[in-house]
Amino acid sequence: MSKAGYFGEYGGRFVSELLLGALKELEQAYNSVGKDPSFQKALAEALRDFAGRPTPILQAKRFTEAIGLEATLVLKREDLCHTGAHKINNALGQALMAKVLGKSELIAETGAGQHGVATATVAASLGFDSCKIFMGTEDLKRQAPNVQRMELLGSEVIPVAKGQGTLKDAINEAMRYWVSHLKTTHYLFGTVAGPHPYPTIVRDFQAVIGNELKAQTKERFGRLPDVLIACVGGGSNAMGAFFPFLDEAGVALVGVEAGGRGEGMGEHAASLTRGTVGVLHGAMSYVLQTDEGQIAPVHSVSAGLDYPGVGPELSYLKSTGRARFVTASDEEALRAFRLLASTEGILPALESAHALGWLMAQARAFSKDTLIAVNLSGRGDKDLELVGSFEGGRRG
Amino acid sequence: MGSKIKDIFASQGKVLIGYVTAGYPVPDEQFFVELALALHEAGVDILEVGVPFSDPMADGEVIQRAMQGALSGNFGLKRTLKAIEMLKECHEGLPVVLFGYFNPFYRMGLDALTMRLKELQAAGILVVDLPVEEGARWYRAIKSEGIDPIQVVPNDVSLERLQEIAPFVGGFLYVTSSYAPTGGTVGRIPSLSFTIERARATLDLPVAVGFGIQTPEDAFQIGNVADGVIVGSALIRALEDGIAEGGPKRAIQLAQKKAEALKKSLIKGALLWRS
Repeated sequence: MSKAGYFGEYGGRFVSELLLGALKELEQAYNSVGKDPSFQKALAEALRDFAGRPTPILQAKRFTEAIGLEATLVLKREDLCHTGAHKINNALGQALMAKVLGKSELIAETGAGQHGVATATVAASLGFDSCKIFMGTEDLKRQAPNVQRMELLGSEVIPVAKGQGTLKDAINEAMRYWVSHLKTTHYLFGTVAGPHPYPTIVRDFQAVIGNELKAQTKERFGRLPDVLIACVGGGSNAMGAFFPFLDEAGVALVGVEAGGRGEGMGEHAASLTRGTVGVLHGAMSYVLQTDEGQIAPVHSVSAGLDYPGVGPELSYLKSTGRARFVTASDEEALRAFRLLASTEGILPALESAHALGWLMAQARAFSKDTLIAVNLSGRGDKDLELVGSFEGGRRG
Repeated sequence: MGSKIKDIFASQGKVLIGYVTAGYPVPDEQFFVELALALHEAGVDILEVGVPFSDPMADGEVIQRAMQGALSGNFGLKRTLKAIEMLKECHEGLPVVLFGYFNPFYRMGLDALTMRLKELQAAGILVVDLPVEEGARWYRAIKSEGIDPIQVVPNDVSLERLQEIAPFVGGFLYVTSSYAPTGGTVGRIPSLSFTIERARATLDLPVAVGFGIQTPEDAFQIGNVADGVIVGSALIRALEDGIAEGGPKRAIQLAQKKAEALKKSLIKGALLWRS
């Protein structure tokens, strides 16, 4: 890192002066808990007893055969985490930090609802006075079961109709709320985007994924994977999986973005693959934008990938060539969703299905002795209604 | 190089800074010029011109709506700059401060933007989401070109922070009355006056207060303690009401009335302070 909060030329803290104080406070808190053995112990226990870690790896033999893949494929089962996705790792870490900071309220944005559910869950379990989840009205529609879940957990779900009514608008609104409630409230940001120190904090709390995976493939196969694949929206599951492997030059890292339904603006959410460098939500990174610097509309069948930006560290990995970024379309993701269900008995989240969808399309490119790991970042129960609506034709 | 903004503060005593979102309520350059001149006539000493942005994270609902409205009329940075150029062609006396979010400026290119601001004789620029840590080099560069970088600080800004931003601020210091997005309610005056005194002493600049200044009463109170007020959402609301009541002409009338009322009590507040 060249400068605090930067990954190469990406990252930084592009926020109004009113938020700077809170971000600096957070940075200090993070630096001190990072060195505090009692905090680390509390987090490790919560991850074990509450989140259900370590999550297993599964060799997906029937899926492998069905897609004509000769290589060996393992799935990192983040879908088995409590609340159904990797989001709980970060939520627990930040909520414990918020306790140290003496905050009584948690707020969070959510797209697919997974991060909202994870935050609502830790807020209930750690006894916060209040928890507010900001969610775009479009996402509310497509993720109704998660809304009900958050409300049952005692959180207030705040619909955001402004803008496109999706994840980015929920972030804008959560930031607006935060700036008026800095003293009492911790903004539990859900992905590796946003202003410094969020990209670092979220990555570190998610790195448990890659650390476990490393040990597990060594134990099971006597070696590290040759290829590690993860879907990329904001990038938290990808960064968490990739980070412990960054110095392992033999491990190819592949991030799969939402190719949506076409290449035109507004038809996909592939910030790294099709975007340009800009500033969104406080960080310099790849962004989908117009020639005049307005943030572009985005589309993905998966609400969790429906975001016009991406974490700055992933932009850095693109610029150095350490990771490769590709896309899977809505249809490829849906096909993978169905196939994993029927061959392995696992319903993947539509987000994670993008990673599998890309692998399906590329299956012939991998040789027999290759070991491939896919981060199955979440489960697909939340997507049933949506997947059903695609049955027998494309959704409008 | 001299500062147009400092000159205004020196000659006016109390300064009314009026904010409008370019392209709102009518996405038309000529309308912008008419609105700007009407506001100037009504007592606006410095015009802050907002560049419409898709994700105005620091702004409240009123300005968000205005920006969205302008953008749906296809009014972005280029047309904002064009509108300012047209204003300059018919009236040079009203100093203009460009207000915006960093991404459109970055996309245009900071060197190109600086050149264009010079051509337009812009008095200053305020980039909401570019703190001095990120913008140091560019802030220095524009300052040396005679364009004032306006910095916003919260009402409880520390002395250390004032010293940190000192090399990168020009024209006036913008103090927010509260921690909130724009368009909320005005914060407490006693803590404000302490901050204002300290800022004047540390930066040797006039201090103006914004965020939540809506009523003549607000302007009166702020006029007591600050060198100027910034009024944004209240003007946009007047424009909204005017459009709803009778269209663009009525919008200009109501905004003008609002500015007049605010200016009057701002000066009243100042007189009280002097006596």
